[in-house]
Amino acid sequence: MAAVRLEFRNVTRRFAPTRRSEGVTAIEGVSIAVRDREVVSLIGPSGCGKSTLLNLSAGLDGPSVGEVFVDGAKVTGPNSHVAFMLQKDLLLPWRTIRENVEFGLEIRKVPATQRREIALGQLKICHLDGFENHYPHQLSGGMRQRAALARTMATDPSVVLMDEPFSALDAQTKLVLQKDMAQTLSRLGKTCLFITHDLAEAVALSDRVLVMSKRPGRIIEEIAIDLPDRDDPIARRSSEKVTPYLRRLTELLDVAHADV
Amino acid sequence: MTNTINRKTFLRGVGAAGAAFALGRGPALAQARQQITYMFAGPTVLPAFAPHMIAKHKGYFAAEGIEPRFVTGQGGADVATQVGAGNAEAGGGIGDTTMVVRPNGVPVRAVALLGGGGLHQLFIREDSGITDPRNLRGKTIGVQSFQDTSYYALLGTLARLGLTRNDVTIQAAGPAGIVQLLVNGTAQAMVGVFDFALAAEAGGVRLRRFSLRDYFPSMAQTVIVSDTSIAQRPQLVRAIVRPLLKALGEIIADPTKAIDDYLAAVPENAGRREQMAAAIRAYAQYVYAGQAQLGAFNPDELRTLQEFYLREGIIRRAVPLDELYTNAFVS
Amino acid sequence: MSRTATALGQPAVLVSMLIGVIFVAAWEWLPGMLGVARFIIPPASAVAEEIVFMFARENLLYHTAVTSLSVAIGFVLGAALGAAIGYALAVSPTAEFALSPYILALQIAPKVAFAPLFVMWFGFNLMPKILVATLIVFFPVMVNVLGAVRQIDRDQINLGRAFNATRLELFWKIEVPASMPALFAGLRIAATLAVIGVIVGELVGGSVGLGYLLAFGQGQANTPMVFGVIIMLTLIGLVAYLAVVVAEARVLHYMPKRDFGAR
Repeated sequence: MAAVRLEFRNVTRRFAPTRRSEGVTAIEGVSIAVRDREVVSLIGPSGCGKSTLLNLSAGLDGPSVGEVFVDGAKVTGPNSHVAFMLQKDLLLPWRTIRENVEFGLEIRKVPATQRREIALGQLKICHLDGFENHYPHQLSGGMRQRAALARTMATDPSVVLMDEPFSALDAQTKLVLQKDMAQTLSRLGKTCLFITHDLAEAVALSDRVLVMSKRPGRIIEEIAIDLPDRDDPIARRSSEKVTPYLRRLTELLDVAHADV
Repeated sequence: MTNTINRKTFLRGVGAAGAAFALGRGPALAQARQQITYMFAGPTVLPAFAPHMIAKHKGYFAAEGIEPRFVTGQGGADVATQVGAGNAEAGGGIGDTTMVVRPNGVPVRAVALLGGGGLHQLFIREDSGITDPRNLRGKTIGVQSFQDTSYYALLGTLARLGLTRNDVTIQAAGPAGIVQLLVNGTAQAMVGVFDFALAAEAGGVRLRRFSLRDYFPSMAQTVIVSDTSIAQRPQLVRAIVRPLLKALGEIIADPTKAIDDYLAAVPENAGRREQMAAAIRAYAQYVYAGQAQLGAFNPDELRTLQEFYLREGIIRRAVPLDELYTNAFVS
Repeated sequence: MSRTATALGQPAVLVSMLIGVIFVAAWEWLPGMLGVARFIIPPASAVAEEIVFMFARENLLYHTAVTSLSVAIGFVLGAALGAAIGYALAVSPTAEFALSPYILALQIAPKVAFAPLFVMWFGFNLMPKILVATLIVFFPVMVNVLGAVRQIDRDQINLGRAFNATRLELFWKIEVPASMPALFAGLRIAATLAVIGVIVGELVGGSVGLGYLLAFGQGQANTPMVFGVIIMLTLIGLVAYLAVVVAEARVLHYMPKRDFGAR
């Protein structure tokens, strides 16, 4: 069995009440194990604590109860094994695309020539060669998200965290980017926790799908996607075998909705 | 004792203010008196405006059928400009005001000169040992500002003393700063009004006074009206001038009584009776007195002054003397 | 995009010039036609003549230089101080919480009212007017910087944190560059305010600077001189503003282009 890259052991995260909001329990008793090279999707109703899971994985936040491990080491703060990518591209507008891709490497003190080489390589993989000296505002939404993907991959993380990275894109761009991402993940052999609310996307891209309940978020179901073509979501989508998975997920989410 | 007087004066002041309020507001009491605006070049509470305040308080304006409202402008030229523009019926300047503004097209003339002395005096600290202004060489002299009549008067005086502005250090310090300069000893002398000198003496400095008029035709306050008023409303001009000269004559004749009249007219100053009394005595003796015909200008003085201003570049163009003043309203 | 700008630009420039010509013509002849005295509104030609005279006789160049220098020093000091304190408060919520009531009070206090006090404390030199300018420039810069750092996307900061950036790196690599547009917006406002600060300081007293000439002209009812000084002050303000715009264009070269003076 492949090594576990990202693991949640019985994690609960509560937020203390503040003057403006009462205390909430975002997630409760969550246990997840994402193995090497695996892509695991996380779906659930909005506000179920998906983003909390992501922050805990990245070490930006700590659990109230339980532990988070990345590559077998307990997460106590931001660490170089993890990189994340959000719905927002978070490109820095004052940096060129290449400089944006280099951002993480720069902070890790990678020498400039090496940085440049890695960045240009990643941009090529993401089909952005020729745009390295453009500024973010000169690129379309899809291209900017590709640049964000390149930046995420540039630091060579062992775990990639994605939070609805394609939800702001139009349907066509979305399909192309899903394919590119799937290929990149597959080629580089990355492990990925993928948060989405798009059921078809979850089925098309993942090895497994985890379904969360409404807040406090718990894992209520785990579904292994037993289909070929994980690196070609367009091919996978066109397969009729996708339908039973979608039906099952729809049912589960309805249950999750009706839960409270 | 002082307390009682102060309280009495204060109460009288309140009563007077109440009466003034009633007069101002009650049309039944004020039988169609013409409201006019009279603009001062300084705050209305300065004792320099004693003639105006006493004339109003004692009803001299009312007797002429007018009701002046006193307002404050930003110095003599501003007063002249407002009068020229018709925003005020009359205003107060100094002898040189019309000389300075008239070349710039402001159509105003002086119709009365309130006194035969000069508004500005030269004051020298007693402890400097200087008893002759000629010995001011190398000393520091304070003035209110470099754009002020007092500075021009100082320049004229220095010229007559055989000194230039490079022989002394002249500092412009503003109304508060000029007193401070004298008190802390930075300046040994100043050219300014009595009000500053009294404030400095209150700060513990003994001063010796020298009349600038021994060297330079420094003049008293004037009453300024527009050419239009002179041509079209001479009776109004007369109604403004006559009460002022009457009050002026009273102050000269009996300064002690004038002090009571003044404090009754300006109850805000009742708390500073000593200082006000000293100021009014000084004004009566050194500024107001000394005119053969009360209120009349001496054209020779104006000519000398204008020639000096032209020579020093303070004015660019001289206008004919009879455009600066008229003595038609003081007889 | 640039084609549209030129296509729109050409008639706009013409209209702009036409408005200028109409304005000057109206200034020259309208007051006379309406019987307004020259000492109230002097015609444009009288003001132009006066400006020439001021150059020749009143040392206009010198006074303009003194005022410009004071504006420049006051602007630089105020902007530096405003930016420094803005960043300091932005990165330290505790400091901001503790100081905000005082900063608010000082911000609300009318800065120009301090001018006579500064003159009394420091005398008739460049100091008081530079101080008024510094004080008046300080706030828009500080407020803009503080607000901009506050409004930075949390996720942007988290991205840096996830890459293991130190606090200092977050500051220099994200917070400072992200607040540049707001800083420059503050500097644009500050550039014009600096002129106001200096002129108020000069009006209080002294014998140098355009404020002195303004008071001098007013003290002689020389309205053309007052207009002349206002024109020179406007020019100084314009130069200061354009300097900021040019600097902004260089620093914020990565921003989408926008028309001059827009906003």
